[in-house]
Amino acid sequence: MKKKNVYLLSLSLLIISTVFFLGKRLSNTAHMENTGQERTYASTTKAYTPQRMTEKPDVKNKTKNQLSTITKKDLKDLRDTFPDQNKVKEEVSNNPHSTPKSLTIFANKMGPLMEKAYNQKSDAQLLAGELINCANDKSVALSARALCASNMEKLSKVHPTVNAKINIDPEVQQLLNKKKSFLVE
Amino acid sequence: MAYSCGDGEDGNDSNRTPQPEDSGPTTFDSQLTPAERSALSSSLDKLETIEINGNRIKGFTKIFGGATSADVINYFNTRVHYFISEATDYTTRLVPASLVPVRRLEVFASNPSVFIWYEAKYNEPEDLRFQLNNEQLEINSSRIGVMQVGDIFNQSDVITQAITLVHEARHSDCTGGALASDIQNFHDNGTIENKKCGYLHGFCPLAGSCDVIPWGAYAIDVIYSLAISETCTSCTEAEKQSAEANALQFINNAYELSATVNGEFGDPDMSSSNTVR
Repeated sequence: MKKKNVYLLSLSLLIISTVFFLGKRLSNTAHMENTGQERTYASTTKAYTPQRMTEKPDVKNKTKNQLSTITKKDLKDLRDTFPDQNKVKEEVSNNPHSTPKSLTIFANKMGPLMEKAYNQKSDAQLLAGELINCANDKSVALSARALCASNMEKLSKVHPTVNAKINIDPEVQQLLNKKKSFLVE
Repeated sequence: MAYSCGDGEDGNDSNRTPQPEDSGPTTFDSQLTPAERSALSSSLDKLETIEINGNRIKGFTKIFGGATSADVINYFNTRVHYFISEATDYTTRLVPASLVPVRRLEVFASNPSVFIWYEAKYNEPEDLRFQLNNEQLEINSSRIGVMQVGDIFNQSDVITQAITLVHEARHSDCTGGALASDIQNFHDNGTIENKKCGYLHGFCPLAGSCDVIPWGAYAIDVIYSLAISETCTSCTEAEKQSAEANALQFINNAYELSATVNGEFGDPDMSSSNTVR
């Protein structure tokens, strides 16, 4: 009798648990059917892949780099061509009939950067920093310094927010003023 | 030593063929290197085609007789007719060779035209000529217009080359004619007094080689450079930067340029004479 009772009890528990789990699934399926979607439930035993953490992108810099076409390398390359005043003197001494080579290299490097700077304010601001360095660097040939100062003035006319009011060496300013005196107003 | 003075106001000697004042395209010597030829072709083309407005630069129209590149070409073609290589010793081209001292002239000149003429005048009545290609050219004035180019020219950018051509052309002018003493002094390696014949440079302590008279080669060089940097509509920015750099470099090599363009020394005399006084 006892054996029989135990058997019946186990069977009952089995039936009840089966009905319970089966019923839950049917209920969810019905819910899904009501929503008109078919979905597959992920198994809870699926392997968990931790999310890869990345630094929050610096939106400001990214935006700046996307807009500017003058690069840090461009500015470094320009700086590397600043004509040394002693070298220019030597070149003039060797050939008084032609523009010193180091000056023409500098001018040709400057050209494309000025084009970009005319077209984009952010480029103008980048280049302006280098132009100021050039204009105030006493080791650079005077004519090159004056060219830098002249370019600053030109940029500030196109992009008024690029500040042209910098302290220019009087000797550089004098040369610049002399050049401007030949222009018919 | 005997030499003749020119006849008439312009100094034209009826026994000689007048030097062409506007001979059109220049002649390349056969010994020019390929690099020199290429540089000359491109710079002459640039000289002709560059779009500038000389009205916006003081002194431009007085020098070139107008405001455009056509006027610059006219100025140039009047003064330069032949190109020889820097490697060519122009004295070896003077024929007959027996008339020319065996010495290498130490005077640096990219335009030795006036010196070629001085040699010819020194040797008169012997007929000294200049050998170029298969021709023996008559030497009637400093506007025989022989110009030399070499590595420095070849390696420059085309704008610098064009400016150099304009600078050198001025050295073909002998305004007011030559001094007999200068012809003798030149032959004897002495000092040349009249800088207006050839618009010869002097030496300035700060600037080095410089103009010592108004409206010299550096003055014309700077004014032309400014026309490019300030008014050119067909130039790249690099070309304008190159021209402006040149102007800034040589502004102080010109003789009192501000006073010059403001008229303190009168208008430029762009004439040339083959008289000897």
